[in-house]
Amino acid sequence: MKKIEAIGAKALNAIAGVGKGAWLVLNGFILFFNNKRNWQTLIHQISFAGIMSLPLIAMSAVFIGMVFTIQSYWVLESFGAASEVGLVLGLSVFRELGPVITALLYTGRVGSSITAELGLMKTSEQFASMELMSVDPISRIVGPRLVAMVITLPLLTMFFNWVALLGSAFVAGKLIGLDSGTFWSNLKNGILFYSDVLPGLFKSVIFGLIIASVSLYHGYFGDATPSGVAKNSTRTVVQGSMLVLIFDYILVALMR
Amino acid sequence: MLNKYRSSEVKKPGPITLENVTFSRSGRKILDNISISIPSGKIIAIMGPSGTGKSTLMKLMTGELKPDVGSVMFNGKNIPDLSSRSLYEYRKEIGVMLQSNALFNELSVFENVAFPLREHFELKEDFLQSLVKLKLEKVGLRNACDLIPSELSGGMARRVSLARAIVRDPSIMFYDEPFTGQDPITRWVLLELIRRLHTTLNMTSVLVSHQVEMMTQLADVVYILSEGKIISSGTPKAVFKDKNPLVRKFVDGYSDGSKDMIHHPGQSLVEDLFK
Ligand SMILES: Nc1ncnc2c1ncn2[C@@H]1O[C@H](COP(=O)(O)OP(=O)(O)OP(=O)(O)O)[C@@H](O)[C@H]1O
Ligand SMILES: [Mg+2]
Repeated sequence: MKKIEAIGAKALNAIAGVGKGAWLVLNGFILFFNNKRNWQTLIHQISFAGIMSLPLIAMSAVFIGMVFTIQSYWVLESFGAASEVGLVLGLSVFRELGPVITALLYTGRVGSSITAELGLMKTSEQFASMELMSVDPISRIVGPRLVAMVITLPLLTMFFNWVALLGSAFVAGKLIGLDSGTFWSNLKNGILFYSDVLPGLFKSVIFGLIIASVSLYHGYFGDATPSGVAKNSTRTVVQGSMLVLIFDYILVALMR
Repeated sequence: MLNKYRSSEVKKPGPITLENVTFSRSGRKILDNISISIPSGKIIAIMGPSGTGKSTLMKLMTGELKPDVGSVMFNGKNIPDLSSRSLYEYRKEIGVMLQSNALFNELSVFENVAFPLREHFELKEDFLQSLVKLKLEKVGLRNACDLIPSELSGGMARRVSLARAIVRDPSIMFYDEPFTGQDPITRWVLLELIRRLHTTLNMTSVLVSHQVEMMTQLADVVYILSEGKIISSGTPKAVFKDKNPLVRKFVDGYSDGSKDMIHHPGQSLVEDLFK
């Protein structure tokens, strides 16, 4: 009985959490436009969440592109379809690998640090003192970070996709010795913007929203203690990654 | 001098009146049916042992916390009932120096002090520069303006927080232990600063402090808070002579050593050690 009650309480908490998160994100988005100083903060945040993530995304994309090319080549070769390696890689990258892996990396790098940053601000009463100066932290702190995250994740995903293709082209051309003209033309003919590229980008917008909601929620509502901040950063990474994978499945199933 | 950019004209703010205020935290009553008034234009000191709820009382007056029971009236309105918009309006009239400083850790000293001005007024950069530098000069930190909070000593951070609280020339100032971490000379300089601000801007000042000697000089009214109740109030002279043993204990220091220190409520030392 105790156990069932505990599960019930957890479920209620989770539902309340989703409600609070939705409220926070909605308010953050609306109030973002209330203050024109937010645009300046937005640029700063885009540079933190976007530009500073480029090295991590580039490194990951190159290696994933290269490894995936070798692996697919081995399989395709046994069917005598080695020249299709570019197309196979392209489809996987644009539809799945790009949006999902970028989102997972993003949760770890950007989501966790946003949670920690907000948590620290809360612990040191910076939100309270902002409010005492008649400045709304949801507008000035939550808003710009939310918008920056929703903008930067799709851009980083596009960047990941292209770098992964370059990594793949390098392995296919230089190491495996496939004709690079065939590689690119197969890619160009086989991948369709509306059915392969666009759905991937759409997913990454949703992932951006999910990661932003999770990380801002844990930062803004989380326990305002040092150990609470540490735990909440971990929660952001765990829950953010899980939700990305779950929603990936749901979106793919729906878009079929 | 600065009326140009003040939202309202310089006028005496109304009094703040707390009536039958009770406030609990984690099931424990911290303030128990307290009624006090903060008359306008006066310097009010809230004193009392550590952990009795002085900061809590101040947070009720700034609208940061809401009482369980009772009202906190200002200009005919109950502060806990205000919508967030009206609360922000009220807070444009007040300046608060929190006990924890709450400086923005990513901004320089200068930008911390400039923050409320940048947020609320469109000032020319050179005018803003001189306003902020003037305030920093008053707290003796003009040359520290490029440091970030993590590079400050405890006492310096306190003074930055003070400069930020007064930068908008509020009509009510709340200071939570403004003198902690200051050397004796700085302490008296700050006291003079608080007094001068108070008289030139015609404001109401509420201070939390332990400094009996300084409050004798500065305060018009003293409230002594102990175990959730006001145990004495009046002019500093009268209060500091009060025969009430709890008041004596606070004013004369805890002369009997830790035995008389006011502890967090709970079991006695003997119970705790030999259970
Ligand atoms: N966030 C909180 N959660 C639970 N209890 C709290 C919290 N903040 C303060 N308290 C309790 O409320 C009581 C009053 O705290 P408060 O900070 O108002 O004391 P104070 O009089 O300002 O003390 P000091 O002189 O040390 O600053 C304390 O006993 C403290 O344990
Ligand atoms: Mg206190």
